[in-house]
Amino acid sequence: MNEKLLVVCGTGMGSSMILKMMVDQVVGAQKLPFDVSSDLASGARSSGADVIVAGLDLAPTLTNVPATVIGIKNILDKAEIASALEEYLASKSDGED
Amino acid sequence: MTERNEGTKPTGLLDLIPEQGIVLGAPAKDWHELTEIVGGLLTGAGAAEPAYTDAMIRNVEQNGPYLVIAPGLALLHARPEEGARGPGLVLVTPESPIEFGHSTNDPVRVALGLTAVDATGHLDLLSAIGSTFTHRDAVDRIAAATTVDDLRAVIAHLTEEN
Repeated sequence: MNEKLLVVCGTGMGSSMILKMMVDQVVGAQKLPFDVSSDLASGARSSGADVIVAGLDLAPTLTNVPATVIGIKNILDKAEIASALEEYLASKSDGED
Repeated sequence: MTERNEGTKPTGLLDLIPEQGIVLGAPAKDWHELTEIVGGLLTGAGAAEPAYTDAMIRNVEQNGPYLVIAPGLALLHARPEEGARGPGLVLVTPESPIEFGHSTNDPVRVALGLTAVDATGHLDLLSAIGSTFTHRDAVDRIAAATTVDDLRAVIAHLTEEN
């Protein structure tokens, strides 16, 4: 089953939508098992997401969220996004062993 | 608007920025001043009310410097209901690099100002930003442009490389 991935930003219309485009491209190109959506940072807690992706400086504000939070330094760097998602998937499968 | 594109090569990002929406080498001494210059261009282009500028400043203050989305690149914006009048995009390069307080992406050498009135009307703007600035040296090359013609050539080149 796919992991639920939520991309967030402060207003939900600028950087999170660019980041969502980039995440969609990475997930599509590498066929990673994620369902991707986007929202305001304030919607993160009730989203039911497994993993949340945000700009690095927004990530620390996402406290008490029942999901893994990944902070991305350069949201236009697909290589950084790809390695962060692969690391997350690797940590999931370690946990299952 | 369609006439401008006839017979010329599309330049991507620059087709979406009005001529009066570009300032290269702006004399801003901090992020407040830079954001005010960006806001002035959005207002001048008819994309925003003056109140939108204050809302962009508040967004940096309240949500932190996350608007610095990549090394050297700020994407300044507020929410649609905070004074946006239509989808708009402007570009400012400061005379000297500007600190926003971001943990890894400071200082800012290219600032974009964005308005949107709904969730989807500005997706072409975001997509052009994404495809232009995914190039590693895009910020360096755009920050180095001193005239709009330079900028046009740099962006056309970045667009072709995609």
